[in-house]
Amino acid sequence: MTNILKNSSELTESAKLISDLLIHISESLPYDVFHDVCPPGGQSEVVENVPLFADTFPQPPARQEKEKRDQPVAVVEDRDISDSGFMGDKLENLLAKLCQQSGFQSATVADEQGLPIGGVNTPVDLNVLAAFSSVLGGVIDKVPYFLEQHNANNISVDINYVDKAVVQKFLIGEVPFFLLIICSQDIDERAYIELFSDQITRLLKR
Amino acid sequence: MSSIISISSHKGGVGKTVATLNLGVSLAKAGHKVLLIDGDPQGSLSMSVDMKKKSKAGLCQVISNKVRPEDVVVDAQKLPLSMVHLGIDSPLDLFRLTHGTKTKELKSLLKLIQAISQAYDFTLIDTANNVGSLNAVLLSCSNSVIIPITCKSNSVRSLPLLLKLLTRIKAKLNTKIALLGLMLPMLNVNNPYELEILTILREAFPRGTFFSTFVPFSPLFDKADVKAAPISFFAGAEDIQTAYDKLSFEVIQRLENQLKGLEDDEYLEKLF
Repeated sequence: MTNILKNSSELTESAKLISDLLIHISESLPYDVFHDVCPPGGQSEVVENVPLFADTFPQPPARQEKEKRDQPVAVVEDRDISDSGFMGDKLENLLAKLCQQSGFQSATVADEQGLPIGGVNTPVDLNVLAAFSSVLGGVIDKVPYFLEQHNANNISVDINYVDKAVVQKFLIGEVPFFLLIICSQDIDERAYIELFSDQITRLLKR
Repeated sequence: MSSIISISSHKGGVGKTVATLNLGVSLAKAGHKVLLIDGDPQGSLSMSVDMKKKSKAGLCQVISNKVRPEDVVVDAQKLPLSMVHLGIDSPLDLFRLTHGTKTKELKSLLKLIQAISQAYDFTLIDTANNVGSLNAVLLSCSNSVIIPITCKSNSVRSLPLLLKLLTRIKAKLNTKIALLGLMLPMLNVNNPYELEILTILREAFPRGTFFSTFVPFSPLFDKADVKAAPISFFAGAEDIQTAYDKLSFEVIQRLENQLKGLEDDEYLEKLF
């Protein structure tokens, strides 16, 4: 199905027309970073059953500061990851926060054998991603032999023209674990991964 | 900044009306003065918030001098948000407007929208899902266009016709109109086929075509439709509300960017 779309004249034609019509986008603006991949959940109730429109003239609220609506920095409090008693749930909460704050599409944590410990928004089966992260983690171990870079602890693979998969190796005691994330190639993922690796390490140590 | 933005798509059911309403509410919550124009003769936007109870007359009645413009614009209760609909109430009027036989009225409609929108920071127009003459008029009075799409093959394959109309409008009627971006108003992140199509689109389209923020699909949209209220009025919809807030911020960023580009072009014209 997707091949039909990929090879369709409509797609090619649209791409050409869009490039003619699209506003010039400054380098400072985010590109296709896709925030908040985590789907909304939970039931809801109407908070206030007030119709939007009425005859009275509205009182405009004070203008919000732009800075308040900028992207948040990656900060996760301990209480954020302690919503439930199970370690797996806590880890998935933490990974969900990671995706929300950084714009990552998916995050998976696996052990040395490639068995999954937790994952969110996985585009394919969690077991497959966990095994894949272990395979890439094995490649990280080979780096010192071939490139003499003994401090290498992450590897990035472009999985298509726009996205990449990054595996970060982290040790708990002497045991290696792997964090695999999938994100846009435009994201600088390193700071987020380092910050969240620390959080994950603290969580798994408990 | 006074800007007219059309939310337009040739394909129906992609979330134009929901996107217009919720984007308008987010902009209004940020303190901007917003006007929503229900440019769809079906009146989906005005029906989605029960607005027709407040005013049965619309822009068509203003054009025919039956009412004054201030009588058809309805203000929201707690937000700096107003709404107006077309006020098409007979099949004959609809036929004449959408098939372009009422040329004079269409021109008056264009001038009327431009005049009314002067009092607002942002005017969002919810257009109908076709490329008829009414839509052409609504697009020609807009500074920019946002195209909502779903990650479905049919939605993507309907894009060229609207884009060709925009190209024609830019060439013949409104040289300043620009595409602000493509938005995803109901992306189901749990559907691998949608994500696959999204990847194909991101690979094929120029960088920055999509707004970085997408709105995740939620059954709450159906609930909002039933209750005739914006999604942000519901508990449990905080994620969607946040997405629209971020999206509205991105819209402002892109508009500022567009304005800056236009100013630069003016300097170039003066220089050479």
